Amino acid sequence: MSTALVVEDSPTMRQLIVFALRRIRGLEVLEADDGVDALRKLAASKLDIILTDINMPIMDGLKLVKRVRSDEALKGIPIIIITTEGAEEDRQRALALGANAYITKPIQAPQVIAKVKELLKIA
Amino acid sequence: MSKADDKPDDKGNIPELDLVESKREFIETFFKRGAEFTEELMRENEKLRFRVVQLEEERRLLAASASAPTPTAGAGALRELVARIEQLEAEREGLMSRFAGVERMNHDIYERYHDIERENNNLANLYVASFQLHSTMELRELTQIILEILLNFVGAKTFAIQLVDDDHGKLRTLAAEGVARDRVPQGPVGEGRVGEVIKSGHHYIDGERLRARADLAHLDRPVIVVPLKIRDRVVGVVIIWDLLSQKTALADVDYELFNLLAAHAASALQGAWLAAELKGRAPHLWAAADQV
Repeated sequence: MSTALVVEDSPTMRQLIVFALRRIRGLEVLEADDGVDALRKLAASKLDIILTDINMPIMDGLKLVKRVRSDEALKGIPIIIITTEGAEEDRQRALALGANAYITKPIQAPQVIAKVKELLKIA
Repeated sequence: MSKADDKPDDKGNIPELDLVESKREFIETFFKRGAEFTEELMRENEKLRFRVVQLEEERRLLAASASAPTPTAGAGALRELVARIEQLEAEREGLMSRFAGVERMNHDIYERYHDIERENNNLANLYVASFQLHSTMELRELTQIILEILLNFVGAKTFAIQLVDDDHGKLRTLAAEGVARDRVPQGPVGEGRVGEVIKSGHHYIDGERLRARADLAHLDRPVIVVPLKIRDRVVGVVIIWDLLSQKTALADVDYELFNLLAAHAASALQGAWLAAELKGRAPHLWAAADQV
């Protein structure tokens, strides 16, 4: 059993991502409103993958990536960025900070599912 | 000497015989004939030897052919082999044909799987959008949900929601994204492309400009206008001027989302206005809208 954390300030978008992830058998999904909420959830639960938006209040997705990568206990968790920012420099910046994948909105559920499975190494 | 020579002469005398000569001739003839006979025997012997050799060779060949398949048996085996090859060829053809059939079926299943996946994805989008549109009676929250659907689900970059102000005969901007709300043109109802959509109740999509992705910054020239309707009455519009750079074309689900917004967003907005009025927080529709 693996656990994913969806970090997204838009309830609409969050529901869509959660909806997609629930199709992966054996994957539990937790939700967070922003980066700070995500760090709280990371401290409280053992998480296997993070899917995060970039533009969020309080703490954005890129800061969250930095924090996770600089934390000895969390740095191995795969991170997928899901964002409206489609510019190549945004992608490069996120990947340079340590994100494992970068998906632009509007999302296609099969693409998100495939990437999560790939990073969690599940069939 | 012939016997005629031994005849008695006229006087009855028998001629004197040369016995030595006769013996010699006899012996010579005898030996000559013996030699001839011997030679003949030798030739015959030679012929027989040759024949024996021939027979021995034939016997050897027969023995060899007896131990090996006979020419008749070989032809039979060959026929069997040819028949087997033909049978195997036919089996191979059959298997190839079945294999091609299975491949076609696989391809069809793969296509259908992707169709179903796409359909599933579309339905998920529509379900979540619909669920969210009816999840609140708060006008501000509802407006935010409509903006999020347009941004995250459709991939709109610059867009606005406008409502028809029947009292003043003009459009009023409820919310905007990618452009300041006060910059959005709020012309009289019935003017321009937006006016046509309000009159007709049908979407307007400028496919050519969307494909070319050119000239999308002009606020007086929207690329998509979606009417928001309660039954047949248009109460507002969603106006889109530009899409996110990664959104290169509209998909089937986008048209479905426009239909969903057209039908559900207006009634949800109407419900939110009524709720606000009932709570006394907004005595008038536009007061509620202005609070967004």
